[in-house]
Parts: sequence; C-alpha cells; structure tokens
Amino acid sequence: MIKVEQAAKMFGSKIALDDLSFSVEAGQIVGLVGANGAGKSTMLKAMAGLLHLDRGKITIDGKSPCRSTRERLAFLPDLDAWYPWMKLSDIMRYMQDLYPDWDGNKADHLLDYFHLKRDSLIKVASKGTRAKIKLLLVLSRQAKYLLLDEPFSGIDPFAREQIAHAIMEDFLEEEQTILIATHEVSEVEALLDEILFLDDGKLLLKGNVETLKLAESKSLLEILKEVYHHARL
Amino acid sequence: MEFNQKEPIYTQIIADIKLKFINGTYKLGQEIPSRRELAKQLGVNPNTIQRAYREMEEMRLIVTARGQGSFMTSDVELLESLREEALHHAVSQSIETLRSFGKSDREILAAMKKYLERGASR
Repeated sequence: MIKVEQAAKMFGSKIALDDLSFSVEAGQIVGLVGANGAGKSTMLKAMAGLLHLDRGKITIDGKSPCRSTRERLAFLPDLDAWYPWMKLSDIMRYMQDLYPDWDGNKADHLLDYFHLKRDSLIKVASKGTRAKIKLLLVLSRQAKYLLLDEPFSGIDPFAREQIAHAIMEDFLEEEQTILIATHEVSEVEALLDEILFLDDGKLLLKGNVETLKLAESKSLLEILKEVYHHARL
Repeated sequence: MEFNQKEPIYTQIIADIKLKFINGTYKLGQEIPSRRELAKQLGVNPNTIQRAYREMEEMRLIVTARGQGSFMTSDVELLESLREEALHHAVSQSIETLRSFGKSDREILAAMKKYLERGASR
C-alpha cells in the first residue's frame, strides 16, 4: 500500500502539493488525473523518492521512499532521461546492471511485441517509439509498484492501444499496483480501478470509476468537470 | 467491442453478453470467454470484468464452476423471459419515441406495416 499523509510541496511561490492525503491499495490500477500543473508529476516523483516534501509523509508498504523502496518501484518519467549517444541496447544493459529484478525474457518479449530494435538510436526515434521504449524499461522489471507519468502523451491511437494492451497483460501476470498520471482521462478510463482527481495540488475527487459512473449516470469526464466547477465557485 | 462513455463498462459488458445469448451467438450452456481473456481482449481492468461476471452470476445468467471457466445458463425459461423482456423493451421504446413525435397509434401502426412490407419486398 502507498500512503500519502498531508503532503505539501512548494516551488518558489507556486504550491505544487497542498496538504494531500490518500492511500492506494495494493493490486489496483489508479489514475492520477488533472490538468498540467495540477501536481501529478510532483506527487509521483515524491513517491519515487526523487524529491523531498516540504511537509507530510509518504510510505510505501510502511517505509519512506528510500533505496529499498526504490527497488520495488519502477518509475516512468514524463521527460526522457538518457544520454543522446545511447542505443536501446545501452539503456537495457544499464537497467539490467542497476536493478536486480530486471527480467531479460520479458524485455525480449516486449521488444518483439513493440517491434523495437536493440540498435536503434534513442535520440532520433519518433515520439511513439520513445513512449514504447520507456514502457519497455519499466515493464521489464518485476517491480511491485509502477508509477507511469503520462505514458500516452503525444502518440497515435494505434500505439496507444498497443501500450494499454501491454500494461494490461503485465498487470494480469503480476498484479502490481499501478499509478498512471495523465491529463487525458478518456485514454486510461478502461484501465482503472480508481481515480484520483487533482487540481492545484489538492485532491478534488477519489473513487472507483465504475461506481462513480453508475451513481451519476454520466461520463467520467462530465463528473470531473462538475467537481472542478464546484471547487472553483 | 466499442464502449460508450456514459455508462459503466461492466454494465455494457453484461448487456453485450445478454444480447449474444438472446440472438443465439451464445447457446444454452455454452462456455464464454474467461475473465482474463476478456480483460486482455477488451483492454479493460480485470476487476471491472469480474464485477460484470459476479453480477451475471447473481442474475443466474452465467454459471462459474470452480477452475472450469464460465458458462451460459442452461435454463430455457430464463432465456425465454430474457427474449420476451428484450422484445418488450425495444417495442415500447420505439413506440414511445413515435408517440413523442405526436403520432397517433393508428399512424404508428401504418408506418410500421409500411416499413415491414418494404423490408419484405427488398
């Protein structure tokens, strides 16, 4: 379980996380949804142990983000984080050295599934290809927690479906806990158990997606719009 | 299968399986895809599929034998009553739509006959 208690973070005078509290149950796929600047990436980075909170606490299976939690957690960053001279095979070797839970068979399977080539130069790869590479690097680890920051951003619907399919297949095998941050709710809706809706660093809504839709007889997007306008009144 | 945005996905899955049962795509007692298969095939959260299957089990529309997969009911009467219900629903919906246009029952009947006759001569 991931538990967030009164998390707060400022960047200069900008409030990124505003007293956020929630928990994510194990074995669920949770959507962290909000506009750009809502605090999604900050939240994921804090969970991954890549930035410190000003106040509040995050625990992953009872432990604060540190070296040992990092080993059970795989993070897919929004931005590309590799050297321009790197080939896919270089990054794969690097990941293999860094993480004991790297699964070479799974990496091979995903290479095949996504039609990726080991010797392709990352720098010149298309956006869709880079999105697939990033997902490959995360899914090839047998981590208990996956944090995916905008895994679908800027890709075509065809690649989107492939990526969603790969996430689902992996989840069926391993039943990890998966957090997906996105500003495009319709892209992830079918994958989710729960939604966490962020705005200006605050949590506006948390709930089971299917239960919310059943109760409101509305699309998820309509529900979010209503909550958003209500909060702005 | 394409989902609409408004309804929960699990109710749409139930409606789809019901339809396939009513129109004979799935026969009495036939095995239907497992939860896993359907989750993979539709790209839908397996817990959502589970919710649909649980509800169908409660309705006795499907039977799940432990470790053996899920099967459509073998209950002929249930199938008949589902067909009846679906027919009634479709007829009442179209007639109420036509009534909301201000059509009389006589006009509605004539329009339906005309449509059916045209279909027959096609």
